[in-house]
Amino acid sequence: MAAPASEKGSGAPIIGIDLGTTNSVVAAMVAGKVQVFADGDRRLHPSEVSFHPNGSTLVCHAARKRRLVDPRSTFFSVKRLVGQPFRSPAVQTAIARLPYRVTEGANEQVQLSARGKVLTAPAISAIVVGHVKHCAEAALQLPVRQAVITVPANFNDAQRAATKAAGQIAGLEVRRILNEPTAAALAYGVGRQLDQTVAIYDFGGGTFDITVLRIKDQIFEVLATGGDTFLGGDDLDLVLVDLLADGFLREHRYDLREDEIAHPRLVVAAEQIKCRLSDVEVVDGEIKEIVHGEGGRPIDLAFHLTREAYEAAIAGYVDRTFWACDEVLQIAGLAPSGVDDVILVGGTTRMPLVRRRVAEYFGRAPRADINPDEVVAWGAAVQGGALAPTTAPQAFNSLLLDVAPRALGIAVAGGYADTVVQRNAQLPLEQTRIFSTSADNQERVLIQICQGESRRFSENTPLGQLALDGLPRARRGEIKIEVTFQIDTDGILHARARDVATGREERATVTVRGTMSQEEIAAARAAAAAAGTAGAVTPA
Amino acid sequence: MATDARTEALLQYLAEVAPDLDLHSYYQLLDVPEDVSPDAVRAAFYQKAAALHPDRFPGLTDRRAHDQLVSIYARIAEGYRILSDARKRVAYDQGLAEGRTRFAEGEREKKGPRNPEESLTNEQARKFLRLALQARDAGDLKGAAMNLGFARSFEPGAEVLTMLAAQIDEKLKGQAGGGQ
Repeated sequence: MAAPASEKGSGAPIIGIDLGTTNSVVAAMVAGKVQVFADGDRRLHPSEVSFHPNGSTLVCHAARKRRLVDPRSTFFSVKRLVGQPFRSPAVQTAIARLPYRVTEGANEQVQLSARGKVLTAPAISAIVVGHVKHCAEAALQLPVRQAVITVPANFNDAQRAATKAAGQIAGLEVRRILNEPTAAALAYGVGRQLDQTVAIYDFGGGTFDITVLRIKDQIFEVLATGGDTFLGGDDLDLVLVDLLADGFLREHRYDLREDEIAHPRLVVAAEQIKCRLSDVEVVDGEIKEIVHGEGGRPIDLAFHLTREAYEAAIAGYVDRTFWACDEVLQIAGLAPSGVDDVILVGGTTRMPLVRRRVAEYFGRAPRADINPDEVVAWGAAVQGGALAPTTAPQAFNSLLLDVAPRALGIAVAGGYADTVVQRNAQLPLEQTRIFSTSADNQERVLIQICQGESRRFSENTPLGQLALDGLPRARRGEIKIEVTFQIDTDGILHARARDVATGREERATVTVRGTMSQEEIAAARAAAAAAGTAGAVTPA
Repeated sequence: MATDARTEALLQYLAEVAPDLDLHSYYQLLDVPEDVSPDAVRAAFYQKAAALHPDRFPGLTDRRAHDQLVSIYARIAEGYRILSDARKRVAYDQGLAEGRTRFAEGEREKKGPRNPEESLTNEQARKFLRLALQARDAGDLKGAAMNLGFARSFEPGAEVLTMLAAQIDEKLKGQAGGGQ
């Protein structure tokens, strides 16, 4: 049966993008199989962007190389900032470690600047997205218009919206924001006759997520998900930085962490040494001319690191991942032994210590036949295939039932929060609440929205506000407005409102802190297209 | 190209269910008897999800039909969640007998403060509120007003303090009026 050529897309598949903290991967279903798109022979694309003094923009590998000599104009780990209000603890913690300039823009947005250019975090991520889109187009010889982009399961509403914006700025229609662990499960289970419970242990560069799913007859039901948003491979790099810097400090009485030039080099070296220590027991080496001593005499940093010493230093971080596992298994109503298979995702899971501890915790060895770097992009590509309208549902019948990672509440009297959406409730979901005016002739009602489980509003993360506008004039309390909160399959919140008495639709607008408005996204998209940074599309 | 049979069947289903979604119980939406076992609830839900999840209709361009589908599907998923939780299911069945087709999740856990003190965040404010209430209960209105004043200095915006202060003020005025 020949599929009719659709009017748009002209046969190009929906690409799947794993937009990682450290690296990104892009893949798509081509002729019924997943194909990963490389840049030359490299399948991992560093999530980095560098502004060169000559006015050019370096992306991915070129940017990472440039970071060694120009850390202040090279953006990396942007995923730690995306969709977060500038004053949030997450952003403030991240800024303290990042060599580039981060400032506050409109609506509490994060702004990144270098060499006279000021961009939002999604606009920087869009440059990476544009590059990987270009890699896919070069391989497919077709313009790509649609994508599935993955995010950590823990990402909140604003972070999801910002990731979607990054795709849009790069000129893509984002068909789905997909949770990374769910994508991994999809890659693992697609096309197989399974009836089992799996755990996805996802230890990436920036966050840790644990997700438990039931897979049966190609239905992938997320039972529970959770994690630690302040724990990632980056933290383990910093432990190694400390080991190296402390050694140097003892010997030369000079702290490399305080050195603007040496410190970024040390961070890059630490990441490489960390990866080496996953393969070998001991790493000996030196970093040439890390600083210059008296009279400009260059000093090398010589090091001798054993896996044993490093594992002892990071054991506490690895232990923290199992606190989250305990919590999530409890929500799912399971014991660790109730899990039939454990799948590892993220580069950090390559560490022997992590693999050992996972095996101990679950009482079974994790799967060794899945590439933790690529599995998420594979799953995103599979989901892209499932969402393509030309795909017959019989041929591609995997179905994801994902959940809201956090509770959603609204402010009520006395400083309390009314939980509208329970944590781990399945998506899409809808809940309704009735609001009334508290003053005569009130035309506008503002409702504060938060994410989190606490009874007290102030102990949750404020997310934004819902505005009901243009209400009919009446005595206070006479107007009753029914608001329906919807969280779509991307995990993004929408609201609509209705006058209970008249049935009339009212205006309901959700404004989320730290995110771009639709107008800002459109402007950034136009700017990116003009600058050509989002990847030039060869006309078909 | 004509609308395919699946979409046709969906539109008919939406037209039947969407207008009075609130009149359908979870059991009706899941097509299961009211004495259904938990395992059968899941099996029924998986069947519904496979047939009705919005992802199953990527080509559904009619915005209104799409919204109706999301509303109905979300309600079915809600039914699965409530009926799969033994305690919530008992509460739901009680409500259903009185005509409530939807489990009011917020109701049971209504976040109202259990006592006035709980609504304050500042420790000092709580302490002075406690003293104010003790004074009031002992009939010492001036002492109550004074302690309330202290409490309000620590947490000026607190509604519970404003309300209590107004009550005590009124009583004080009443006393003053009675004395003349």
